[in-house]
Amino acid sequence: MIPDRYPRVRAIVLAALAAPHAAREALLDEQCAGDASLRAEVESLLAQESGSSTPADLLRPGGRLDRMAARPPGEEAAARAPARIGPYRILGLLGEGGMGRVYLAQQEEPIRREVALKLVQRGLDSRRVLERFALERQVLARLDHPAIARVLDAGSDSEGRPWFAMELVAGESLTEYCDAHSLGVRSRLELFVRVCAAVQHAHQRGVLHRDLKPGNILVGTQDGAAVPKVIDFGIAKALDPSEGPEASMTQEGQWLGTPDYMSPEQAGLLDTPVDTRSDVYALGVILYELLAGVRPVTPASHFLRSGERDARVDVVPPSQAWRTSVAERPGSDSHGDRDRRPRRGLAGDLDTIVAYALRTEPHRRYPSVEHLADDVRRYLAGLPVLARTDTWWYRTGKFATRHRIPLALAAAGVLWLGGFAALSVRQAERVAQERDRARAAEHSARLEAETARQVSEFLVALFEASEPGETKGAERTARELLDRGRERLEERLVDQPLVRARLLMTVASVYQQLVLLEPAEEAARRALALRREASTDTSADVAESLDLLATLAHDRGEVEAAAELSLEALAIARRARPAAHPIVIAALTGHSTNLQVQGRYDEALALRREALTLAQQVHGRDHAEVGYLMQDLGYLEARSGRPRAAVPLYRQALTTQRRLLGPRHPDVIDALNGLAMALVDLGAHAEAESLFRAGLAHAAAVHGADGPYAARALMNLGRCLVLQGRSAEALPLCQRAAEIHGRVLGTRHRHYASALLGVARAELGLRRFAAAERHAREVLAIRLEALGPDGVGVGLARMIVAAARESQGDVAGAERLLREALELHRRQYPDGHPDRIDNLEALARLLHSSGRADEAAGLLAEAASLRRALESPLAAPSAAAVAR
Amino acid sequence: MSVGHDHPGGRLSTPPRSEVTAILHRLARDPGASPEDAERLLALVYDELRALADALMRRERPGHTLQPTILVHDAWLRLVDARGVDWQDRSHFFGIAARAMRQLLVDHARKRLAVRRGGGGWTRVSLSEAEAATADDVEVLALHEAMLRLTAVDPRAARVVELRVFGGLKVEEVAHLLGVSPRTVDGDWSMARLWLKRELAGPT
Repeated sequence: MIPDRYPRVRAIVLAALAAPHAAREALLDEQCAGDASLRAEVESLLAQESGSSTPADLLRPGGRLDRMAARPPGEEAAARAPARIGPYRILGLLGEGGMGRVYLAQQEEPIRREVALKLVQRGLDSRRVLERFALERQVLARLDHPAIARVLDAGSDSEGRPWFAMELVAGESLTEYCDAHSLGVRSRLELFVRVCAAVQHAHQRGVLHRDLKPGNILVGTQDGAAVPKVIDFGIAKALDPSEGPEASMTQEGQWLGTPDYMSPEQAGLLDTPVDTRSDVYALGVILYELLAGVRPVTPASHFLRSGERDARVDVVPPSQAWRTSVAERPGSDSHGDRDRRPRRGLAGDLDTIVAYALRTEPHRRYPSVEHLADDVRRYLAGLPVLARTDTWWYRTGKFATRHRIPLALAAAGVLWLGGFAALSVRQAERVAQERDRARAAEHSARLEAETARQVSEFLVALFEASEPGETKGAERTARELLDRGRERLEERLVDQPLVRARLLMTVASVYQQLVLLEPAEEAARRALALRREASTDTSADVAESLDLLATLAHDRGEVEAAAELSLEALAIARRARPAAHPIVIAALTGHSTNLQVQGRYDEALALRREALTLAQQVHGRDHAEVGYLMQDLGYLEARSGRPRAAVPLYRQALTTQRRLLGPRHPDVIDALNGLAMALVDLGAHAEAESLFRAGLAHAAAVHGADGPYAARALMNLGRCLVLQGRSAEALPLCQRAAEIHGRVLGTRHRHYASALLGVARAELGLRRFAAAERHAREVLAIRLEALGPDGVGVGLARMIVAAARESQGDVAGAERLLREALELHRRQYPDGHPDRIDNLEALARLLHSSGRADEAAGLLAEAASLRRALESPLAAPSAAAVAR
Repeated sequence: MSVGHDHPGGRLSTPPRSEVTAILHRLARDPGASPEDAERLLALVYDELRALADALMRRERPGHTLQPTILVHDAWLRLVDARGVDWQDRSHFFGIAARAMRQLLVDHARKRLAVRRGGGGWTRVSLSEAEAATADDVEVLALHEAMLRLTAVDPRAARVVELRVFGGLKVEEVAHLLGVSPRTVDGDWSMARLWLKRELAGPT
């Protein structure tokens, strides 16, 4: 470009940007006046306005550059905004309303995302608010609609003010959007129908909004199209003090919704309960406002302004209100010019639709949002609206009155959990009347156990039904079935906290089995809270909940947190149940696992052995639990470097478990995997490989080819192949395993690290040394961070890095790494371990090839004696390792 | 408002608050009087930003993309005694911080790219993050270089981009700092975006 010409180019470009699109051509013709190169220059700049750009997100309108510039954390907001609320970091103020402030906040764990955080300023009892929200939470979790913004979390800040974290929605309020974009009536109605669909979705799932208003319906633009999203679902209910069992006061003066959009029954002007038709009413007011540009005077708003209780305020039809409001604002046509015809129709069908939605008595309104939306659609399609046909109306109205059943029930559908729960509640009541309190508690505990057993069985049946081949076309995932089960649970047993806790625990365990850690944690924490609050002694149950939470922490890779929880669980369990008891066994097992993860194998083995003895006392020898413990002991023996001791334990465990659990049970797949691993350590690669392949097939069939079980089988199969020198076959398997673990568990999880180490080993075998080093270093970093310098597998990761360094010519670096690893391995495995032996041999090889044969010989002697101690058949060829 | 707990584990030294605030006062009274003051402030802000960024990197994940406006804002909170300053001081601070932030991002990106080309360290970057970070780094450098070229033809527009993107200043604040109308700033912004976009899209 010619710099001198820049001011001219700039002036024309800015003028063109400011001009309407249609006028641009003429403007350029005139301004460039035949100067072709000037014109080309200008056009090349204007072309950037819409065209895609190379740094995809950086410069497009609304892209990163714009966002960076548009987010100045203003000092006004910052002065008042706390740095953090709950786990969220506050970035700025989004808005302020009657209820409180809404902040832009960043969530950092478990995923990074920005959220809208609503801090409620009113003087409310936040504990109650949160209780109500907790009850509502699971119900809200099932709202999954593109036009509903999700409520993600709730809590209270240091001053006890409740807050809610919500999906962040960029957009304007419904009315602002319609006015700003000069939408015509048709476009407004189309948008309205989409809002109705969202509300209907929630109603079908038993959730009322209770505070619908344009400000709670945000409209953004996506690819040029309007995208509405309803926010704040469930919040009005949580904030309403008249909700829940403690409600006793009158409804007056406690309005939470906006009176302008509030139905008469919600305002307490009618003695009828709030239900879906209250939301129909609010939508009616919104529709009115969209059409008329003003809000109608309703009984609630009239009452608020005049103090007169009059449920029969006449609503002025929107068509008349429209005329008035236009007359008041001469020259301003906020409804756009293009669409005059539908507005003429206002006087007719639209008036009727709005009037029906705004009937004072709920049973005379549209019985559902869907009916309202249908009528708007009929209007848009040019069909006669049903609101006009009185016979239809009469019939539907009658029907709605006659069949008025609670909303939650109507939405419930299948009531499977309810069945068990109701049974247990009734029996518990009878028992409580008949016996004294203590015995009743004991008895109801048995009932609970029975309930749980039944539910577990039911869940297992559900999951079996979700296996491919057993379902006939029904596409239900296990997760969906489980979520549905959990939802049912929300609606039951509010007055039976302990039974409810039991069921929550069952649900949590199954989530855990499916590696759905977040909902599992949620359910387990709620169960724990219920149990801790109980007036009777529930310490054994508290131990059980802690135990599961420890397992979940373990599953997330939070080693220390897990060990703390499991130690607490064990202490409580031992105190609560001095004799052999399943909870003590579970706590022993759990804590043992967490010690094992930290490499404390001897302590872990001792606890497991104690657990096995207790389990045999409690269950006899032929029990899945006993098989399980044998399998665990097998694993620990193998990990302690005694594969020879591990193999018979595994084989015995497998015999029991295959019979009791069937060949595809996760525990059986586990045992199969463990046996194969031990066989790998014994050098029986061929048998190990066939077992891994069988395990992989089962895992893929039961949990999907993308699940963590499949990933583990892939990883181990890959490892087995690497050990056989078949790295080319192994690499894709390990990569796939790493990909799955990384996606499911995150790239800091130890399973991901293990899979990645498999990748590194395969790469080493394929002589891709740089890649191998990079991946092994990543593994090392993850393990160091998660487990500390003495963590399990830290030494092994160093060995792989060393191998990669050595192969790239860095002998000194490799030696240093191997020595560091050996120092750790000697401490970690005083009795020997395959890793320690491999480490010794690797270092010996390196020393030997760099001419330090004496030193190498000493290391080899150590390796050989360890092999003998481990009774490994590989003891003999140790010296031959040097020759490799 | 306490910012201290916002950086747990970050070994941040006590910021030179009074010095920064004093320099700001002097600059606000007479921007041209003391070039050393401006230099000194730039250095102080740069160091603070780097300390904040390092703390963030330690605490967060290594591949993390820095968010300039938030970082600059944090530096403001740490470096300046908000009770003793006014709106003009603020504009001056952010004007300088924008430059420091841009420099920091560029240095940071260069360093990371150099490391990835074969230097040591930075092993904690995972695969996907390394890729994302590389893309970001390349983008930052490309933008920086394009902005240098823009400075040659339209220095004020380039400065507007710097102030808004790296300093997080609002249009009105930029207008005030540059002594032009908000409308002009809007024009600069629109023009700069088209110009940079074309520049980054490929050879002209």
